[in-house]
Amino acid sequence: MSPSKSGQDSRTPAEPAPESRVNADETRDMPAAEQNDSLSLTELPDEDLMEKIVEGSEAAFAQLVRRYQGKVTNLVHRFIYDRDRAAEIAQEVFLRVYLHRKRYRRSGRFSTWIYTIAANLAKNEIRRKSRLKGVMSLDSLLEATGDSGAFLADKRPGPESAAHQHQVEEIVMAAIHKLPMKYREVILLRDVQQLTYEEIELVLSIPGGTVRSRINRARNQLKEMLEPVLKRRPAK
Amino acid sequence: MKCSEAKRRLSEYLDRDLTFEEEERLRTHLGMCKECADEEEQLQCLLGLLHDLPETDPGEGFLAAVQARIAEAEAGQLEVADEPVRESLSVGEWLREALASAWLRPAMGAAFGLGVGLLIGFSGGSDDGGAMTNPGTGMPGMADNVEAVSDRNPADAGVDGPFADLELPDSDDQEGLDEEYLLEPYMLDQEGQLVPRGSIGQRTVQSDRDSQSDVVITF
Repeated sequence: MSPSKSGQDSRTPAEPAPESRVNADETRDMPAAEQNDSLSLTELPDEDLMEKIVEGSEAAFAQLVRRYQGKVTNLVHRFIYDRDRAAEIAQEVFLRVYLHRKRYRRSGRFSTWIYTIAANLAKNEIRRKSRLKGVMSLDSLLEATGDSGAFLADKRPGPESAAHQHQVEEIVMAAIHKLPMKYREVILLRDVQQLTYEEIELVLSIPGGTVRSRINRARNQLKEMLEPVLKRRPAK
Repeated sequence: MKCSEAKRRLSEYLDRDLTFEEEERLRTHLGMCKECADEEEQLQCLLGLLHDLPETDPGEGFLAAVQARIAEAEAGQLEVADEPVRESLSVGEWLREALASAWLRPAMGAAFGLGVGLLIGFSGGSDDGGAMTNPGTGMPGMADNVEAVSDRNPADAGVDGPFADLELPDSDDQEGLDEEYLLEPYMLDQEGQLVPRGSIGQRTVQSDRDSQSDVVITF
């Protein structure tokens, strides 16, 4: 990716924070004694944690799971649109990471390795299931929201807003699931997981030009599907 | 800059993936063209919606569940794939991968073509939910290229057999082919039969990345 020459503006940041960055939440739910032991682990990049895991450190593995459990579950959930099954598949991802830990090569980023496993398991799940469970049609969702634009623009805090947010999520997810898989996967990796183009190339094993063209087409198709709501939503 | 180029570049612009010069040209165009500026605004809204999606909560006891599964696997009570990453491919996808190998293509193209045709004829489609399958053909692995290089819709021509229900995608999907399509070794001929591309001859398609340059498929 060529470096940006642009100054401050409202556009999407091209380089999301690296996955290996320490997450302040990683030790939040741990007992105090464990927190002390894990403090140094939270500061280690993914690749160093993997080295420790290969050496037999269970604490390092636990750290890695805490670091990625939300991201991996989220990716799988957005792929297959089944929250319960997504958690099971995410567990399978970490199981495979652990059992095949010696196959990981430090020359590649850990994040792309685990996202590749997650994406492939999610796609296998979609192949296995003949129909997606619980997906409402986009049209019916849009119809149900009535004045969708005003609805989406409403960001007031409170219980009503939470319900609105849930409906927004349903609409966006239904639209994503109308995309062909090759477009769905790039949208999820780029715009939901916020991977870089280069990381997506590695995860999907496709050339950079294909990544860019698919992202462009995926966004355009999604934009057309969500046009009724986008028209009235204020730009960020 | 023309609107067509501007629209094609908007996505990379929003991702800050353009060079300074490209970005300046696009910015100048957006300042003069309301239609493209509106499109940029809508794309920004879309990205805002996608970024606002909340991260899925993995649930309580996620780590404990993973550790329990590891213990089961290590005790031999849980079957785990030998391969950590690979997708499980359908027969069609496997064939496509095999045929994409350069050393296989010249010698075995015709033989595989016959085999693929027979397999598809017997299977009559896929039960994978359509997610990894061409929505028109129902043929796993035989993706959009088939439509992209075919001038006619066999369904319209009243072709019998496995392609009788074949529908071509919207014309939007045929605009601008990217390089993945060039790896596809098969296409439909005028009779609606699946044949190696080389037997049809050359065909020029528009490159996705650069509308000024054409790519010629040769096998």
